[in-house]
Parts: sequence; structure tokens; C-alpha cells
Amino acid sequence: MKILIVDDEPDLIEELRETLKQQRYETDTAPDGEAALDKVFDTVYDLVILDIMLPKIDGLAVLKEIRDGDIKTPVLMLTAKGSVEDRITGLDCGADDYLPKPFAMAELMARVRSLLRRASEHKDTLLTVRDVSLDTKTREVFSGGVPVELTPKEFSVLEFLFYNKNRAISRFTLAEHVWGDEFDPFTMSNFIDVHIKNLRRKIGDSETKRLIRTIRGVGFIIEDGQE
Amino acid sequence: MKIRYKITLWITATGVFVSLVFSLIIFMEMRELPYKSMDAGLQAIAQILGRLAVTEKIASGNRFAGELPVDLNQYWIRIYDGHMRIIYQNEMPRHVVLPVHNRTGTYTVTNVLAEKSNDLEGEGKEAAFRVRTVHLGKPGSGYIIQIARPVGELQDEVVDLVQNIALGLLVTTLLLIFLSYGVAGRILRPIEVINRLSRDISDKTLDRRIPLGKSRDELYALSSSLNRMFDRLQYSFDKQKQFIADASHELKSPITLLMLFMEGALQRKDLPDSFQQRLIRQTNILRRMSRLVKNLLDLSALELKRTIGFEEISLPGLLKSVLEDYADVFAAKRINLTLNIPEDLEVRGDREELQRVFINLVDNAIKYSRTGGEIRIRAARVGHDIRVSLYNTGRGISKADLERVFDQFYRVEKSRSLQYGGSGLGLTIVKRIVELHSGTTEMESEPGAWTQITITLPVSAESYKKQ
Repeated sequence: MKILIVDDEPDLIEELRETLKQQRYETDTAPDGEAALDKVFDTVYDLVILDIMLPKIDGLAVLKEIRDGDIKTPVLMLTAKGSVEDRITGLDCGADDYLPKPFAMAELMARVRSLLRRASEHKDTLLTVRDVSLDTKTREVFSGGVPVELTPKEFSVLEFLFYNKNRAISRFTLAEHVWGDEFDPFTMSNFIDVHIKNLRRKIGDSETKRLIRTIRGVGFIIEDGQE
Repeated sequence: MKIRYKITLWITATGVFVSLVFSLIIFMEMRELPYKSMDAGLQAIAQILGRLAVTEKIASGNRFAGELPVDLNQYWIRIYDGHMRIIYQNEMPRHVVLPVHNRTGTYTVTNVLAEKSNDLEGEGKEAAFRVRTVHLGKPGSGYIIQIARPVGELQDEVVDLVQNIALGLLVTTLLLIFLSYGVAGRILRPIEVINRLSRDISDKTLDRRIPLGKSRDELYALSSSLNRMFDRLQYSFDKQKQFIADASHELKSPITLLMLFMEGALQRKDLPDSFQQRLIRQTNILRRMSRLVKNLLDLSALELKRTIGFEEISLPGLLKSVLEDYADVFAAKRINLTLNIPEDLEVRGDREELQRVFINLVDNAIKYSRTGGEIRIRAARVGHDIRVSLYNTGRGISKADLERVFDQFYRVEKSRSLQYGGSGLGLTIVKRIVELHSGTTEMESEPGAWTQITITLPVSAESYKKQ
């Protein structure tokens, strides 16, 4: 899996590269629109992470050119401007997903995985950790083979934790993911514990075999069975 | 007062004044004229009478008709000789006593008619006489002729004249009002066009300009001044927009970096507990800062926004979608939510912005509600407005704070901002968005008991255009 990161902020590129590397993705970088276009038309990537504010050629123009050149690589747009209009413009230009700055790495990773999964056209939309599985397409959850009824918010919480398996996710990040950035995550993060409690009850997550672990002060984590 | 009325008033006033002066001059001239001809007549008769007296053709009682071209009975005549003896008087002086004197000249006297005479109608009526006294020959030996004539008809003529002038003035005034109202409209029409265009430009798009006329008159100057102002406005708007875009980029990129670092650090398991705790605190501060930057930039963008998209939005639909997102929160805080909104209530406005209003308001209500509290949302059409009010039980806000809750960065309890989060900009944003919809925002509170925010949005499209 090869990902192209296009951003004019060297530190941000480095940070993204580190994290993606840890997740065993191959990365390539471009500091501006011109370099990005050169690379996109030169190499086949599985995903492009594209900032909108770029020197030389801006992100939207780059995106347009990529799509005009009939390259269907999924593009994840990053932008400092977060208004709905900007999102619509980005998506209309052919972006596959859109993430406003500042974002949480967990959110970015979840979206990267979701985009890659969609692009690889794997019909397998089933995520499984131990005896709990979650279908991202049909939005069904099974615990030990038994279907579980979840509210949409509870499903979002679980899905996000699944996507970020083995990573501690803060209440704040969860709140932001579940409710979106118009909502005040400070209000919402106060209620994340309630969701986790309900989730645990519904999927039969008990003290003896903890699936969603609480990390004091930080948040929550779902880990593979090994630990 | 509208300027059209003012112009009408001024033109009319000027016109009436000029007509008045003109009429006055005419009146003075016309009023003197009959007296002059009458005086000339009296003088002529007196001359003839004088000549007859000299030739001693007259004596008391003599009727010397035929000598004169007029009927003397119409006149009051008395002739004295040099020794002030009356040598002749006709019929009228017997009935009418006139306070005449012997100096040469012409004047008007009035007297009450003592009894009915043949030629003068009325008894006990006041009548005015025009008197002329003429001296003939040397003083002491000549004759003094006094001749008078009632001026009744003449006075009637003057009254007629005044009436005609007054009528003329009335017609002129009405005509003036009518015409000057039309003229004022004509004068103001281009100004109205300029006004409408500039309102359009300032409301809708700063890209357009007022078209300039061919003649370089005052309106041309006004239009080009306005256009220059729009140029400058547009320039500074564009500058500020660019600034916000740049600031967003410049502020959000480093915040993103810091967040990513903090998050990464929080994933580590080899850090001492106390350090981890500090890291968590720093992360929360960073998040608050990030939120603040977002709200600040949103607010600046809103301040720049001149127009908003308008569509018909179902108010209950919009509110329910917002409340749905909070459903779990309400349940968790055991808040009793009451909704009282007519199903068919529609507002005209920008869906995204109005959603933000309700998110901020509901968030606020939840934040300041106690567990097990109550939130009531009511909406109704009141006249030409739609009123939406959010009531929540809770600590409430003191009178002094109420005035400032919509101010930027104002928080009722600064010390608890960490606990409640928020940037202190939520209500400012609400107010600004409601203002963009030509609405108003109000807050009432009973300290220690409840708080209620009411927003009023106009219903009709016309009321939006007005702004």
C-alpha cells in the first residue's frame, strides 16, 4: 500500500509519515502542487493525502487535474477551512473524503483505512476483534455470533475503536468523531463514558474478558486477544 | 419628513410668496385706480360749478341741468362765497351731514346716514363719501366748492378685487403643490435608482457597480463617489477574507502538529504517571485552543458574511435532527426534554447556519442544566415573526451578567470554563447568525432557577430585503 502525502508543512509530513510507516504503509511526499502532479502521473499510489493550501498549484487544482487525467486513486483532502461549502467544493472536485484541520491522528487513520478498504473493493467489510465482529456496510454487530442492537452513536464509537485497534483513543477524539466538529466536544466527551458503559453491556463485555479497556485519564482502547 | 414633501413644500412656499407679492402690487394699483378717476370726475364737476358760480348763474335751488353732463343728484354739493356764506347746495346736504372742512384737497369721510334720502339707500347705515374741496378766485373773494360722492360701489369693486385675487392665489397654490410634487418626484427619481442599486450592491454582491450617466452632473459625482466607496469596501473585504484564510492555515497547521504529537505521546506506556497526567492536561488546553481558533475564525467569517443562502426550512425537522444527536446526552444527564413546535412551522434561512444556532443553544442549555433538569423548547409564529425559545432549569444568570452574555469571550463563570469547555464565543456566534437573518436574540433568567433564550426570526421574504 503506497500513500502520497502532499503538504507544505515539513513537520506535518514527517509526523504523518512516521505514523503511516508504523502502520506498515509505504509513503511518498510532495511539498507543493507541482511536485504532487509530477508524482501522481509518474507512480501508481493507493491513496493521496492532499492539503488544499499549497504553494504553486493549490490542492483543488491538483485534484481537478488528477481527475481530468483519469486517475481514480482515492484522495483524502486536508484543509484548514472547515466550512461546509469548502467541503462540498472539495468533494465535487473529486475528493473521496475530507478532513478539516486540526485533526486527530486516529481520525485520519480510520479514514485512510476506510478509503483503502473501499478502493480495494474487498467485499469484506467485516471487522473482527476476538468474538465481536462489526460490519461497516450493513452496520450490524455480532457478539459471539449473536446480533446486537446498537444506537447509531454507539455503533460509531465501536466502529472507530475497531478501526483504531490497539490505539488509545481519547474521549475528546471519540466525541469529535461521533458528533462532528460543529458540536462542542467538551460537552460531548462528558457523555462518552455513558456510551461506553452501554456498549459494554450490549456486547457482553464484562470484567473477566474486557474488550474495551479504559485507560485512566486518556480514554479507551480495543486490543487484540494476545494481551 | 420625506425629501419629496420637503421639495414640494419649498417650491410651493416660494411660488405662493411670489404670487402674493405680485397680487399685492396689482391690488395696490387697482385699488387706487377708481379713486383717481373719481377724483378727476369730481374735479371736473367742481371746475364747471366754479365757472357757473363766477358767472352767477347759480343760486340756491337753481337747477342747472343741461349745463352739466352728469346727474347732480348723485352728488353732495355745497358752494360758499368769499365770506363763507352758502350760496348754493343741492338736495343731498340736507340729509347727510358731512364733516367736511375747507382746505383744498381730496379725502374720504364716513358718516351715518341720518335719514333716508332719495338716492342713498338705507337708514342709520354707514356710508363713505369721497370729498373734494376746490377754491376758485382770490382767497376772501372767490368761491369754495365742496363736492362729494358716495363711494359705495367703489368699495364693492375693491371687495371683488380682493376676492378675485384670493381665488387666484388658491388656484395657484393648489396648482403649485400638484406640479411641484411631480417635479420633486422627477428630481428624486435618479437618486432613488442610485439608492436601490447601492442597497442591492451592499446586500448582495460587492462586485457590481452603479452605472454612470452620460452627463457629468451632481448625480454622476454621487454615483462615482459611491462606486469608489464600494471599491474600497470590496478591497478591504477581500483583504480580510484572505487574512482569515491565511490565519486559518497558519494557526491550524501548527495546532494539528502539536495535537498529533500529544496524541502520540499519550499512546506511550513507558511514561511516569505524573508526567502522563500533565500531558493529558496540556492536551486538553491544546484542544481548547484549537476550539477557540475554530470559533474565532468562524466568527470572523460570519462578520464578513453579507448574505446567506435562503431556503424554506422545516423548523421542527431541523430541531429534531439536532436533538437526535443529543438524544444520548439527554438520556445520560436525565434531562426532561419538552418540545412544543407546530409541525408545519417553516423558516426561511441558511440551513447550515441555523443548525449551528440550535447546536450552540442546545449545547449551552445542556451545559448549564443540572442532572435531572428540564429543557423546554417552544416555537410559534407570532405575527410576522417566528419565535423559538429554549428554556432550561439550572443556575441561571444574574441581571448584571445578562447584558454581557452575547459579548465575545464572555463567560459567566470564568473559573469554570475548563469544566464546561466552550470558547465563550458560542452565543456571540448565535447572535451574529440571527442578525444575518434579520432576527433578534434575547435572554432572560432567574438566578438560581432558570434561563431562557428566545430568538425571533422574520417570516416573510420582504422583511429580509428591508435590511
